[in-house]
Amino acid sequence: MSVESNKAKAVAVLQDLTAGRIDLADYTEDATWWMQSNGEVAMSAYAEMTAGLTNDIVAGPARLVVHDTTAEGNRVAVEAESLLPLKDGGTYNNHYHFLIRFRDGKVSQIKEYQDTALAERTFGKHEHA
Amino acid sequence: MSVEANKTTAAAIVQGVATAQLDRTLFTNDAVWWMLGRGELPIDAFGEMQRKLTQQLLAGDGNMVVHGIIAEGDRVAVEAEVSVPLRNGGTYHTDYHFLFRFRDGKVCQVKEYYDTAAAQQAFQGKVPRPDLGEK
Repeated sequence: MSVESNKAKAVAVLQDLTAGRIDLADYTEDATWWMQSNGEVAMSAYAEMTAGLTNDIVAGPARLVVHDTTAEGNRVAVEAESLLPLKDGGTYNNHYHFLIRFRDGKVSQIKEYQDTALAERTFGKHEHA
Repeated sequence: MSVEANKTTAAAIVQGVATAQLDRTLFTNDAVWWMLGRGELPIDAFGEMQRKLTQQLLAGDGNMVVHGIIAEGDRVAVEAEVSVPLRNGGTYHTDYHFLFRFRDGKVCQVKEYYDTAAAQQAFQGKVPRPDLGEK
């Protein structure tokens, strides 16, 4: 896969995750998802974890605004912001710098760097959006 | 400047973060340093804040480990982690994903993504306020 197709795939996968969709066909079998403080889990476990997430904080669908992507070799860095309407009338606006690794055209790792303090203030510990 | 030269510059700046060494010559005059959750500062104000934070809260140099660097066009992304001894006896550990933007071979913007919850826990709101020369 080329750097350009990796970039397109990276953005598509992140848009899917933001919308709560995970197509395991996009990922290698041993793919993992990592977040600061939270460590690394198998992508399949992450899919189950997020599928079970219901909360009374979020008021509507999230939007991911993608800024620049920087790619080299099998890695793509994606700078992005989330916009998520909250039931208290506010908007959850986190900033992300993802690092996505590819193997054989599939995602093998997602590293999610984000404002963990903001996530904790909004959702409580050990949850994210 | 080449992508490879930009990567070398970015790596040097990241290593400087662990020791509060900011080589001003690597930045454009109008460079800014953005920190996740804190916003953007002119580079000199950022350097001053970093010096104060080091004097007031840190007990020594940090140990910075760079995990990976990728570059494309005028951008360099650097993954790293640091452990720094604190004056209160603890250790501050954070994971970084920096994004550097270059212009004419110099850095014009740094975006510092780090573990803001870990920083809050380590520094307990004692991070010095930047002096922006305002009243």
